[in-house]
Amino acid sequence: MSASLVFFIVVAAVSLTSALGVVTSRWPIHSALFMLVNFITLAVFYVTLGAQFLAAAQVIIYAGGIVILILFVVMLIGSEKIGGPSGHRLWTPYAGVALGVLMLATMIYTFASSLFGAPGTADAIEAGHPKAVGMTLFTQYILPIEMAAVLLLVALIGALLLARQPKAGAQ
Amino acid sequence: MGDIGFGSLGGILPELIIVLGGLLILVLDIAQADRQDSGRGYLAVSVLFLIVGLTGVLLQIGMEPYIVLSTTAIDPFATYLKLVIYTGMILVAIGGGSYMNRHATGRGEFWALFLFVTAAMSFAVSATNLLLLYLSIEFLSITSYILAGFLRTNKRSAEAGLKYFLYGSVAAAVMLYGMSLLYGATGSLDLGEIAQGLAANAEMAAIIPAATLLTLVGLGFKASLAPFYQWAPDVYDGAPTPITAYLSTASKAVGFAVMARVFVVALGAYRVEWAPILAGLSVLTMTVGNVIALRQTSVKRMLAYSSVAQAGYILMGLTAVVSSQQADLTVLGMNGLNGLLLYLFAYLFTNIGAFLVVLAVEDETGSTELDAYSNLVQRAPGMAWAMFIFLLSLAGIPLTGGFVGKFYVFGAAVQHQYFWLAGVGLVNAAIAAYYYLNVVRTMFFASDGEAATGRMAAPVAIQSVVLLCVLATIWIGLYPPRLLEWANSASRQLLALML
Repeated sequence: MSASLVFFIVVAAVSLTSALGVVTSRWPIHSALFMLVNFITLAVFYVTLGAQFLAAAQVIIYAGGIVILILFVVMLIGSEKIGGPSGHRLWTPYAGVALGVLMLATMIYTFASSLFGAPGTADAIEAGHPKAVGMTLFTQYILPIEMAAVLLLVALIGALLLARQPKAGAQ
Repeated sequence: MGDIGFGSLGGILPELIIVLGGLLILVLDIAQADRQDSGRGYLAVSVLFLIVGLTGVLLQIGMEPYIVLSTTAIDPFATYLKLVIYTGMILVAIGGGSYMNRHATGRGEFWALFLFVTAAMSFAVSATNLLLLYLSIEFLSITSYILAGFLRTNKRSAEAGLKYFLYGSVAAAVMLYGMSLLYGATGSLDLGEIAQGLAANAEMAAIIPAATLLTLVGLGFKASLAPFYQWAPDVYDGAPTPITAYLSTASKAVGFAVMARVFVVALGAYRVEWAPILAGLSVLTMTVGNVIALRQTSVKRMLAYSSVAQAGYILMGLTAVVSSQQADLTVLGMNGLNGLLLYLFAYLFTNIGAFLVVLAVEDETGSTELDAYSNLVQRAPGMAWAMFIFLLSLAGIPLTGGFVGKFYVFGAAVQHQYFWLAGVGLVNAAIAAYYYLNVVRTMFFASDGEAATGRMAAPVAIQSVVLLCVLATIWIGLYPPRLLEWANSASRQLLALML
């Protein structure tokens, strides 16, 4: 058994366990933290496939942005323990299972062809690779990038303006 | 992929100058320790940069179309709309600047945002790439949310900002979904390549209705079309009047321009499908706007609903677009799109002028209600007569700019056999004339003579901009050949891109 396979099995086990933890945990905050672990293991997979840019984006956007957003929501609406089966409607679990199966079927349908063919790496399809992404971003899409920079500045100014306490006598 | 270098930035120099101006004001604001600054300097710097930008755009008139940085088109269509945007922003800055300076906290930030929003609109009308298109519309929206809620001590302004933000984010999300469908179907973000991709791959046609409708939600929101107009009256009414003046003209022009570019360039082959939808929206928009405007007692709110109704007339122009080969054959060259462009230009001066009169009256009496206008002709004859001309233009009376705009969009609708659309439009124009002339009646023939107390002294800045708007409204009403030529070449160029 090669080292990379062992590594894959270990990471996959962590990934699956944390994914199960997200849905089985009774504490919203635990679910959110399990989700964080799951996102990070996905990023590790991306790195092993040579898609460093995707890995970085995964960590920054999902682990850094979305989990934080979820934690904020949990903080705002309270983090009480979620009730047992009586807490939700009768059809909720079935609907959840049905949607999960549907998604699994779609994924199998989409990826079935690549299971038997040659494995597609990030190098081969030139996607998710930092160099390819950087070249596109800073040549073809340089204007949108720069505009996003100014947009972020504007949003920052706006947030400061609207959120700061009006000083007495500033009128 | 175009070359990247300073040489390739020449085409977007006007926008770059405007952005630099905004950054300069931010730096100046930080460098200055005095927080009680009157803001007059920033006003002057902003107007200066806007005029430099306008000059840059004027120099681009008549150039051969070309693409900058593979995402932005410098073509007659974009240049025409940039003229509209820069002119509008200059008028608003001169006329409404001192009002904002007096009432706003954070004057440096205000003027920086004012310049940024101009650049955002300018990019939006020239973007040929969905990514840049979405980013610049979002840029415009986010800045507009902040500007609408800029008077934080004023509850109505804060409410306007919040409402605009909530409606706007939903509309932007829906539009993004529509754009993602277009990208998924064709694998390209470029509008021209999307059209080619759709033509090459007929089985993707099933995705077109969904993508079109979803994109229409976001763009219709910007242009305040009927099912997505609910934000408009509250925001136009609550936002500071100078901000309302640009939201209802320049920002609306951007909504229509982007809609025209996306629908004509990317989805032009499917116009048989989307034209009836636009016609339905047009009828709904003008009817809803006019019927609700009838019942308003506040002039500012009445103008807000009238602005919704005007969007319905403007949309008639886009309903009646045809391919360029057909357009050249028809008399007077009414291809729908040039009507839309002319209407936007005429509406710009008329509406900014009308809102500045509202601003002057609001400054003097502290009210935007109709009562504040009774016997205005005795207190401020100039303002009253100017408002009279603006209202005539909004109603579409001949010899005003509004008539030329209406003539072209109604004419295009009739030429393309949309008789019912033109008919509904005419009935609506008659309804609108009633409430416009009601304001005139109050200004000139109010029965009670109590209000005739002393003369109203409007600031010189407002007076001069209002005078300019009156002259421009009448000038456009006299059928200026130069303007028609600009609008014609802009519309022909865009229609030529239609597959």
